[in-house]
Amino acid sequence: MVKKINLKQIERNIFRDYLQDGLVDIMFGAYFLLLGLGLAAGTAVFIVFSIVFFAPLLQGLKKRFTYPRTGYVELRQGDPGPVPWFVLGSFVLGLIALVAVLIAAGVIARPAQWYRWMPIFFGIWLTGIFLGLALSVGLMRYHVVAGVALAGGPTFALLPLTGKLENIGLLFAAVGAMLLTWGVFAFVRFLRKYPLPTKRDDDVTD
Amino acid sequence: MSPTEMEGTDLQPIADIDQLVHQPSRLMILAVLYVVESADFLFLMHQTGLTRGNLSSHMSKLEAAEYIDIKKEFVGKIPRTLLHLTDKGRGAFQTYRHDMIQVLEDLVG
Repeated sequence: MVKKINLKQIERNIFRDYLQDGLVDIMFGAYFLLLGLGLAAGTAVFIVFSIVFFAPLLQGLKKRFTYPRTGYVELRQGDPGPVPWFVLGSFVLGLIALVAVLIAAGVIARPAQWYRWMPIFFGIWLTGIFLGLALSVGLMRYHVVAGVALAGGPTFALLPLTGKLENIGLLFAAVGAMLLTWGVFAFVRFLRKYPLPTKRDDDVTD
Repeated sequence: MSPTEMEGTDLQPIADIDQLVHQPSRLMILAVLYVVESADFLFLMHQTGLTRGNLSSHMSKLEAAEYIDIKKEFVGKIPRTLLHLTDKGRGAFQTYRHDMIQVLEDLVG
């Protein structure tokens, strides 16, 4: 029996293979973790802007670890799938949920307390982002991260913390730690599954 | 019956299928290159499961037909063979898909 295959599936498999080394997860996980800890400590400004080093650093790591093992691929800027809709949809849903909670908690009358409820919004937004990614590539780890974000939103909003951005910071730190852990596991598994070839396979002389 | 002998019969559309694309190994290579911007030799080996010699041989045929563009470069001291689907190759792949769907639909119908 011939297995069903189509170009969309091939594209999706290639994108999943692109993520199988775990480096994107490690990078985003480390970024979210540092951002979260920075927000909680009130020193997040420099961390926010460090995103500009993300792409070159990721390319450097891929060049060092991934391309010699499974080869180089440049992905096409084609149909991005459902991810943008999940990002946009969860952003709007997060805002609606936040406004509803602010009204229900009576914070509209005490605007100085609004920041405490921000994890509700970020929790839903992060859930949408990772759920969209999970449905796009079919990797279980993104479902788990989406679950952590969804549960983390209300949990961190209800924590009785004193700092202005501590609740949001801890949410990002939790999501980042989860993503970083999965990424490290995926990276170790990748290195074991694909040892460095003894001879370069692409040294072709036709 | 050779493809030439079939001319003028109802089977002509089958004879018109692009043989260069139709071969399964080359079809795999073209399908992968169709959905990416470019890929190197090692990546294609992993994706298609072809051996080094096989892949190299099919690459040469596709390059000769100008369906793919092969660029050899060095990344540091490591050689890299980069493959890219040309516009001609993209068109040939699309035509092949259309023709195959048509032929199979006609055969069934």
